[in-house]
Amino acid sequence: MISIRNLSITYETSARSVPAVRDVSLNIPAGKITAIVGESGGGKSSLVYGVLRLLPPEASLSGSILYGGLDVVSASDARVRDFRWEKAALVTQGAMNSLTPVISVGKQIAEVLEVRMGMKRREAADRVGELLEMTGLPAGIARRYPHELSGGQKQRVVIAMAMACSPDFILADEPTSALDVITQAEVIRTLAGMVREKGMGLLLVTHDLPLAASICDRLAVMHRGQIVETGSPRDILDFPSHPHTRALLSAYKVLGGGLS
Amino acid sequence: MRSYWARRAAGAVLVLLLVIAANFFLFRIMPGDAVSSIVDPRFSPEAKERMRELFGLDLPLHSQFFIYVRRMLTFDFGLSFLSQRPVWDEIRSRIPNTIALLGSALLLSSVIGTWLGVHAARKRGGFVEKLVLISGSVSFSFPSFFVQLVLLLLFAYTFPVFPLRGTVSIPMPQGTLNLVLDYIMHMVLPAGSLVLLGFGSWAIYVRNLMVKTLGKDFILLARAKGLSEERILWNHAFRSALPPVLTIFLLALPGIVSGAVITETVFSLHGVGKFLLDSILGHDYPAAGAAFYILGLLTIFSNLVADAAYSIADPRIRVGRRAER
Repeated sequence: MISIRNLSITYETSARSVPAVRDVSLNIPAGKITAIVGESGGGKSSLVYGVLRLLPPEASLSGSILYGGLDVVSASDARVRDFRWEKAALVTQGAMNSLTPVISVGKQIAEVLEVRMGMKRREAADRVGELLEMTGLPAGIARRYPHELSGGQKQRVVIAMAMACSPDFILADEPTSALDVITQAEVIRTLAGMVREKGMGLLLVTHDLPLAASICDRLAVMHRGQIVETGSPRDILDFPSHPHTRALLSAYKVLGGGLS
Repeated sequence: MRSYWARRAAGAVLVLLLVIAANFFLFRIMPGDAVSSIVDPRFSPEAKERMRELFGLDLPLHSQFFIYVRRMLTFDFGLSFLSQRPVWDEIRSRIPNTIALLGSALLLSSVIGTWLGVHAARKRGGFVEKLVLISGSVSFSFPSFFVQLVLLLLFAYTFPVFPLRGTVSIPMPQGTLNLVLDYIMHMVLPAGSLVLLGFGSWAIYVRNLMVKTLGKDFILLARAKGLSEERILWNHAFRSALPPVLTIFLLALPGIVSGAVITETVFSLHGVGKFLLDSILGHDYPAAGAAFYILGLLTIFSNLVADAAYSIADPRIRVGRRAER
């Protein structure tokens, strides 16, 4: 379990300080899917990057993020580096600029296997093929460069990369928001399916409430840097208690979705 | 892939032909007539006419042009007016010096500039960044001959550490090792001055590119992968920033070649650049034309090499690959 305790994240600029996350406590249980939903700018992404301590230098963290005996907020750089990817891997908006443009996607996946798992080149290349096939891509795509792939394909590559070290947790920051609706559903189903199959914990951050509700075990609603409501998706959809949750829900109803 | 290189090669040939054509017409629109510059004005008109026939100047312009192209392509540049020796022999003995000067200057300034630029971007506000920003703007604002004369004054005259001129000491030192060392000593100031003038702008350019690249999403993902900073810096950030760096390298080449003229003249080096200037001043048309041509050839060749490097560095321009899908 990753346990976030009283976490606050503030961006300090020379002119002013902007609080992004305010006194958030949240448990991310192993083997379950936890979703955080909320509007853009509500501090969801800051929370995810905070868990991996990947925030820019002008961000200051207080509180604690506990995993085993490690507190990510106060641990040394070397220990945080070990935590990254082997324990908690990140899935970003792969459709955008998440992949290094001049390295073939296979090599970018193999890099984690070689550097973090100590695999030999051949062994890593075979594993890259398996990982890609697990996400529904042909193994041959490993030789391609990011610019040669579609948004959905790039997103799957990023997921394959996150699976490489079989981490305990996957942290996904808006993994599908740059994709079209059909691809979104396919990609999220792939991600959720893989996570369930391997018994990994998933923290899914999205502004898409219906999408989150359709796959998660626990739902947290975030508003202006605070978690305002948590519960099972059923409960939250049926009995939203916070006005922001109701606003999010009605927004989707107005847009003609219909939640079922 | 093949079509890409076919296009590059065709481009290079076209540029070469343009250089040859420019050379051909440039010397024909210059004031004065080629014959009058080599014969005594007291010669009779008949003698001048015979001379024109001898040089092929009585032929129609297009025939002259084709003869000229053929000769250029076979490196048959005729005799120098000044030395009466074949121009190609004169130039051939000078090419290694020019390549040694420009090659070492370009290599050193790009390596030093790149290293400084990368480290400046890594630690914003640090010592290296300040050094880069200052040296970049200072080196940019001095004319090369001024810096070179000051260097000569300081390190060859006031403190005579390095030789004042030329590429070899007189008398020549004995033994290969001593010869090589002597050559290097002669090259330190000229090449060093070009490095001094060039590394700053390189460093600033590389720093700016790296600052931009280090802010990209894929750097964040590389960091999330738990890779070492060193690996992120060079394997991900620098490799992504490399293609535009090579573009600048490519664009800098012609300027560097023309810099050879000034540098070789200031340091009295036995090189193609100085030969060009001497030939122009001495109205030695075959020699000047050949020197222009050789400098053009050097530029075109280095451009092709830079293109090759670019296509290795940036998979996005390997357009031929798309067809392999």
